[in-house]
Amino acid sequence: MTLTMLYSLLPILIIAFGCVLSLLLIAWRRSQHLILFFTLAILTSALIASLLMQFDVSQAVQVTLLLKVDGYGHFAFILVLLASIAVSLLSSRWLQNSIEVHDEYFVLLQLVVLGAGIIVMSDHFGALFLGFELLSIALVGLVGYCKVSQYSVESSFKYLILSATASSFMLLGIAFIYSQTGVLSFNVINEQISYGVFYQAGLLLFLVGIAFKLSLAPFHFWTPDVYQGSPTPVTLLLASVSKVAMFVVLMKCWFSQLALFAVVPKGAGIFFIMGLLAVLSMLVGNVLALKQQNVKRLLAYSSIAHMGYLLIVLMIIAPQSISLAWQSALFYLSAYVLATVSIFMALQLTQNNDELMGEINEWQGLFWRSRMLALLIIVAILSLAGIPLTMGFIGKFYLLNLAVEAQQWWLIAALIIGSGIGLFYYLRIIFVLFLTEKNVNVEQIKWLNNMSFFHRTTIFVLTFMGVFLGVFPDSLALVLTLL
Amino acid sequence: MNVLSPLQWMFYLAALLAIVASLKVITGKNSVHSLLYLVVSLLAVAVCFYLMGAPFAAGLEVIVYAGAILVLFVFAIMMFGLGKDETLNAPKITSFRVWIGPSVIAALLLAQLVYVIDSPDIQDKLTSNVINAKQVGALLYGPYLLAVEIASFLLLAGLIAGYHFAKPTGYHDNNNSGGW
Repeated sequence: MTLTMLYSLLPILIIAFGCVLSLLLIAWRRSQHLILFFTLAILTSALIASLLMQFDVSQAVQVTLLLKVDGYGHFAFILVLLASIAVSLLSSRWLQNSIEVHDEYFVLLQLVVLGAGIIVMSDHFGALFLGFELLSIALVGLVGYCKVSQYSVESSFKYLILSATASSFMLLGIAFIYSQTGVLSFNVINEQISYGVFYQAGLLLFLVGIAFKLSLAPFHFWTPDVYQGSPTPVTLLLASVSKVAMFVVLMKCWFSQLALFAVVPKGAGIFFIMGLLAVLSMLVGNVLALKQQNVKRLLAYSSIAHMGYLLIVLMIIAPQSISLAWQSALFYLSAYVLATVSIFMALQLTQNNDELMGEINEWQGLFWRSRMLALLIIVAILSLAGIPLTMGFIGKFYLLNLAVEAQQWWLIAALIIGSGIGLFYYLRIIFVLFLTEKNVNVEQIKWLNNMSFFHRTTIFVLTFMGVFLGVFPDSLALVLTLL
Repeated sequence: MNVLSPLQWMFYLAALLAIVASLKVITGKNSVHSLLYLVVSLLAVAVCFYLMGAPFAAGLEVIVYAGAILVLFVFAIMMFGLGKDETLNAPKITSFRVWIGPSVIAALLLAQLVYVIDSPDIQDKLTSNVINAKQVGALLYGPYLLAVEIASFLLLAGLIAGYHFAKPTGYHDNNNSGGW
């Protein structure tokens, strides 16, 4: 380990150090506020450390065999950190409702971030697997965190068993790939050898493991239940951090093995399966979301569709377009994370007590009660739907651009049909916001009028970011071209 | 298809035994009986490792899994007082029939091991390149140092999550509960 390696790993090291320090802090004094501020401080310093890093793909630093720190990984980690800062801010409000001191919650949160950091930086199947497990185990603890609530044990068990299944599939896949290539690193040494059927089977099993985590179409069944059963901040964590990390590592792995697919005699088969997964996810996600009454379930299905759209970036064949694919994916992921954070922020702020289950109807007439919150929801929903002048539109534009370049007409058709179906349920939420209310929840109004300055600022910043980056997407796109 | 060499025969037999034992683990009704099969399954996996020329991994498998973790399992089952569930759902034990399955598999594994150690032909193949503890340690504390660290964080995550689930609900609400 040289100094350069340590320096490039700094953000991850800060998080790891934070985990250990928080354990000491808990031993010293158990206080809800203290651990919250400590977690925020750790996450923020990791964020500052990653912002100060050199963003340059040509200067990627290989840290031992396991990790490779590059600009894409850094950008993804920044997204992860921003999302987790939002999660800890949201959790503070939810956790204050009960008397107990929730310090293990924040330790688990930091461990999730650590796992995500390792995943996005990994360059080796071993590191990928360890990071994947770290992320899953810590998330299992968080999903079932609120033990008194109705669905918590059910959803955490579902998540535990399914992620264990996913990891065993992935392990078998990795073993198959290793048996053929003889290296566990993502980078293949000899690109000219044609690997046999075991390599393809391994790749397929590996994809199954990743698809479970990304909740792509045939492996999506856990998503709505787990989303609904877990506490709102944890759902946000599942929807943003875990998805971003898994997708980024999938891209890393896929693009470094891209040269192999050309040599494999039936290399087109892998592309066909990927395309099938994408089309299925887009259609299934959007169609199942149509009739949902619960915001979390709706977002779960819409996340399936979004991950389906994102798979388009993997369909490129020419190695020259890899950097464009990275830009598109990272832009789309930023748009997705920003919109998801906004919606969950609004959901958590309107769910002021346990009676509210997060049904869409609870937002009825919200516009007339709290303009700011309604505006935040509208910007986020429009971005998810991909209406022009939002980030989501630019993201979809990137994807369409790539799909045309790769001549994937079926995927383009599915993308357009999916977005069309999506408009229905996205716009329904906006209509509900403007409906005049019938049954007024007095407590909610009281709470909404007394929102603290802190919450108002957060809402304002999120809305502003959504509008600004939608109108001036260049500001982010330029950063992405520098990576 | 080529005829399998004796070494391959032995390997596939051990693998088959591992699969059978694992199936018995998940189909068993009594958790202690399942544990018995689990031990046998882990031993079979250890034999598999040995037959692949990794005696160190085989030794670890026996010591760590069949030894330490299984003992932990037994302790957990005894201490968590599943007592009533256990006695209600368990079949009445009138004879030593439950022994038969695991002992047959274990005896088969033993026979395999004796055969493999006894046969000079197979021993030649197995001892040609043995990966010993020193090599594994050098790898773990060399290029894979970070993996060891990440694994320790993984254990920490499991520990904290487990602690949270096992913790009695709301013990902070009534401060006179004592203990903690």
